[in-house]
Amino acid sequence: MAPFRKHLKGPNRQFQNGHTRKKAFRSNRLTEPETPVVDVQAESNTEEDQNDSINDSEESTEDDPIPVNSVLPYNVLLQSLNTRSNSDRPRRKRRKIEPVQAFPPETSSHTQDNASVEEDQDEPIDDQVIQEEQPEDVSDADEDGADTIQQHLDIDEQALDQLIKETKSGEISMTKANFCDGYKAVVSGPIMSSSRRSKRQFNSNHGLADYNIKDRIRRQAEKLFPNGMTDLTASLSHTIFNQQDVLFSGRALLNAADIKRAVCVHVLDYTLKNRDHILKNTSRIAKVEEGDAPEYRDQGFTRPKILFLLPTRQACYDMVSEIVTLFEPEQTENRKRFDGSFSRNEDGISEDKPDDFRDLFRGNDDDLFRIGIKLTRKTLKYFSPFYTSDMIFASPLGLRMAFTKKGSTKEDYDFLSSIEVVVVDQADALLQQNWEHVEYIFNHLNLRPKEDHGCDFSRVRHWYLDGHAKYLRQTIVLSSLLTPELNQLWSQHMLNIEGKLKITQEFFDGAIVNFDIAIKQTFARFDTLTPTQEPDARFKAFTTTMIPSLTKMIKPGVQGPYGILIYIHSYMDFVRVRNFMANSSTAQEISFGAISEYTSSTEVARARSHFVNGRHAVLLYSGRAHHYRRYKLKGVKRVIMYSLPDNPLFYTEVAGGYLARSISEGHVAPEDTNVRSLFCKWDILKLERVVGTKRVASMLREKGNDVFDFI
Amino acid sequence: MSSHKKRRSVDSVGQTSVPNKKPRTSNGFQPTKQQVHKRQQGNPESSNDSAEEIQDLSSSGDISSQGSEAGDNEANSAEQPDFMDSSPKTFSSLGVIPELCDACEKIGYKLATPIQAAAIPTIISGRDLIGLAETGSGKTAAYALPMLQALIEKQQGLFGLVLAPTRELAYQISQMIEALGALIHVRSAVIVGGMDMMTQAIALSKRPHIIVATPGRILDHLQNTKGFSLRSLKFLVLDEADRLLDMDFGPSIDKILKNIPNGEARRTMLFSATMTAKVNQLQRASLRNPVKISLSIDDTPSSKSTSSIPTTLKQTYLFFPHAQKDQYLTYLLSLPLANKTVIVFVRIIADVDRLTHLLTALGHKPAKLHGRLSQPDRLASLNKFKARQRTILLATDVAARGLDIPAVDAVVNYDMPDTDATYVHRVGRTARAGKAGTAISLVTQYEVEALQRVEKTLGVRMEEYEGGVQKEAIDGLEGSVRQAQAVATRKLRDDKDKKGGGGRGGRGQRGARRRHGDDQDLEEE
Repeated sequence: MAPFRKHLKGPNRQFQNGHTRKKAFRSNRLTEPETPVVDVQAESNTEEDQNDSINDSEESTEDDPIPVNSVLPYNVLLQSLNTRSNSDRPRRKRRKIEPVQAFPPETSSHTQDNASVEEDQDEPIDDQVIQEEQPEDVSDADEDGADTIQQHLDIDEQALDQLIKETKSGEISMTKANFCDGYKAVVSGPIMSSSRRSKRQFNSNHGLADYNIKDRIRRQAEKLFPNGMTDLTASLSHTIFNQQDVLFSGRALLNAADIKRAVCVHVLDYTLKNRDHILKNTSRIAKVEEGDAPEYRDQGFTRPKILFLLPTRQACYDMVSEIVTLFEPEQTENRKRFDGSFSRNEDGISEDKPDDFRDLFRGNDDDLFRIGIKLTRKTLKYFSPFYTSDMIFASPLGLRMAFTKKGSTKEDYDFLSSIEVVVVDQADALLQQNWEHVEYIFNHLNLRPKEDHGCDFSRVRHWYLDGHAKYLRQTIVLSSLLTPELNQLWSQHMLNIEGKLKITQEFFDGAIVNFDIAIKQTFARFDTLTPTQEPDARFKAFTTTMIPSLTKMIKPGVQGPYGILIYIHSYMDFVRVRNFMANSSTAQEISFGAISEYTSSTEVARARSHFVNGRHAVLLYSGRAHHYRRYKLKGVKRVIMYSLPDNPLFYTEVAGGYLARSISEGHVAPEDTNVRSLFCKWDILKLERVVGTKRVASMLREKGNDVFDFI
Repeated sequence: MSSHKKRRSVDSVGQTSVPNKKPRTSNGFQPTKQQVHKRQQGNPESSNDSAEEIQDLSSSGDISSQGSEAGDNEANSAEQPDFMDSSPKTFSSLGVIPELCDACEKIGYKLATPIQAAAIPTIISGRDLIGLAETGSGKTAAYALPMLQALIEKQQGLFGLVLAPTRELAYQISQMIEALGALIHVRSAVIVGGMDMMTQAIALSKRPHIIVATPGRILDHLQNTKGFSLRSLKFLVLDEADRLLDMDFGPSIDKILKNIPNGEARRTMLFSATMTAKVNQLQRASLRNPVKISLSIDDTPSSKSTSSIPTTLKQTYLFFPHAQKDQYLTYLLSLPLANKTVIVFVRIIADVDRLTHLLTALGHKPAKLHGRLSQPDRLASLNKFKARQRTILLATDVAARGLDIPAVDAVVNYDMPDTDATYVHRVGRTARAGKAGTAISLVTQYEVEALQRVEKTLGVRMEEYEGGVQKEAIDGLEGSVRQAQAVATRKLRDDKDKKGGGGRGGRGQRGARRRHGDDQDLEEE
């Protein structure tokens, strides 16, 4: 923890606030990693922060008046720092002052909570083990037996060995089925007993009440789903609540909020049940005489159980807010700091940007962050040190940078050793950041820790000791698109013995049918044997088929704007084509500009104007530039798709939108425009979204013909 | 040993120990010394009727054949037909259950050795035990078999703890236990210094049935690994007990004893080939009504050490001026001991390194073993030697005790050992399990006294090796040995430069907290 906190007192906090959009990996930050975990409010007894805290307390009293008749001024201060408005707090305060303790467990827990606030600075190792309080309500805890979560976690060794053997050897059942209206699913998992298999049935008829969710969470959740859940959300919830892995590639603006909420219900339920279970066992152990204590194996190596990988601070803020709404903590710690550094109201995104863009980049769009959240019975603490946190929220970049402590070359990822639920939301946006980080993090999940971090080895579950934790981890991936990267994640890292579902849209109309104006669209197929040969084959296809027609079209000395846009999805390909255009003798006649995500805004402006006025016949445009900027380019007359975009909307915008604009502005006649795309069989997922499910199969299979025209 | 332990012992033994106390404290193992057997002084034909003695240290002994406490030993011997019967016994006749008998057969044990024949029924009967037997006589199986048998009766994790003074010995014991316990699926763990704490913590967390450990590291886990305790331990074995109870390990052992159950709940076995005064203290400290079994005892009133040396061992010396030590060693290894398996014991690590270079320069391929090598290197060296990829092992006393390397033809004492017990353990690496073996002590003018002391203690007169060595052969080696010495000196300097300021080599980065615990099982060098 210490390295996160060591530096960054003042300036960096502003740094967090006032920030603009960033690329996937900013090397300048590598040397000076941002450290979000600074306990400003918690460290109220250090001199430096004294002023801060007082200010904060004044602020908080404004919206949250507290009684002043307390005899414990320090506690009042702490309370005022940490408390959000809630109705029964004054009563509790009075109870605390009373010498006779009417409710001993609660009172003691409360004072201990305060103690833990102070301890934070010393990073108490004991804190890692949940031990502050008594279990909440016994009725909840007693339901343990029938609970799907506990059933999942308490699997016995033989059964687990069998399931892992099946998973490893590929003895897994795979079925395709209709998931719910508009979605189909691939179901996969070890061949299991019928009792387990029954949990894999799809079910969209269940409501929250049909699952064994903790009462307090269900009550809140039902308020948030006033009209019940949609079929899609209910079906997804069913698999999620049953501990299965989900790769959902139909995430959209309209369904995202509901799905996120369902995920949060599950994750919070999981965390709290786990905590109750541990506390109950702790009290059982305390009761048993020394020597003959039975074994209670109910923990991992380290405390964090839940990992959220999210693209932006705002996304993190929204997700955490969802959990806070469900959890209803009576106190929160470091709330103000969280609000200040993770959200922003104004975002300055112009109105004419597409909705998905505005949704992704609204608010605080910084993609370098990480935060630990710790839940106690009534308190939610932001910015808790990782090893004392229950949940970790991070961007892939932020988390990866947390591995390396400052001034050390050794990586510490022990805090990922006991993650039991991973949620990857907006995976499509993470794909546009650096997906390597996501892979790196998944490769470091559930490894054996290098140090004990105060772990109580007598309570570590057997499957942690045996290194089988990855087979019990639940992975939930939500994306708007299915890509080969996600498929790889599905096959390599989603190993849950409860099985996994890949849910995709049943049918794509295809982006080509959404054009406002009829434009000739040509798709040229090239063949490659393996995905690794694909970049070379594509480059060869481009230089042999596209470049000759370009050189034929662009006559030396003739200046008129040619308006040829070459869209290149991956940056690697972009660099290759740019170098070719600059250096190759065949292409030297062609003047060109280039816009990638690294191009400065002045360079972009120059390239755009040269393109419009004809000084550059060709403009190279990278996929990530479009993702981060969504320029509305002018003067486009022909589009070459060197590689298709993952997002079909990009095809609509780049091919359809730019050409339609030029046509409507009178720069070009519709019959002179065209779109030419290169594709191969490895592009099947993208191609389906662009040309539609109906056409994709024949385009890939048809022999003899490898060029397809659509008008 | 602290006084509270003494009290506890009285408590657990009850009144019965009180009358015993007097003879024990005044005379040590007084009864034992009356049974001095002179066979080892060159009386080979009498070696068959091995002297066996069961000494019940408490008056309430439940071995029927025992006479009254501290009784007449001649009577004792006469009244012990079971133990005096020199015909070898099968394991099943000793009360070992069929599963374990099968396991014995599988690893080639057909008949019990004398110490096994004596110890196994005693331990099975539920008694604590002190077992003294010559090196290479099968002591490990003597406690491993009854321990596994007790485990089967009451299956639980963390059932038994075997402590050993060196890491290599711990691994060897663990291999034996796993081999014997293979059929009953015994889970064991080796917990020694130099290996990863986290891996060990996880292994301990799985609650193995048997832990084999060096004292420093297991204490480290008892103190620092949360959730690990030995409160349910039922069976404690101290292998090479005298070494474990001496000044180096004593404090660790005391602390370990404080963390495991006392009295009825836990049984204790002590095994060694040599016995020093401090074992007596441990008897008071943590044994209940122990039975003492000693075989081939050679104990004189003047000796402070009780030891046993196999009769198949030929003990010799070579006397020459100090300056010619390397030449004599080279001569031995090149001519009479060429192609034989030899362990050369050297007192200090620097000499091990130097001799390694020297012998390599002369065309030998020695393996080396000392406490400053990393643990993987130590194991690798030992395994190479065991697999006979190397025929010469240069070692400090870290290899002196307990290591069972089959077919070691000779032990060379490059330096005379510091203590007589160490001598016994060193030479005990050869002539194991009834095989023949030779011990050659290189004695210079400075070491005559040490040799005489050993001779006196053991009551042996050593002979000169092969009736002396031809002077010409030694002189002929002078030139090449000089050259090799120069090479060795240069290489040592290179090694030192390579390490730079590394100090203790690979062990430098270890945390200070663990330094203490780790070093204790290195064996003094």
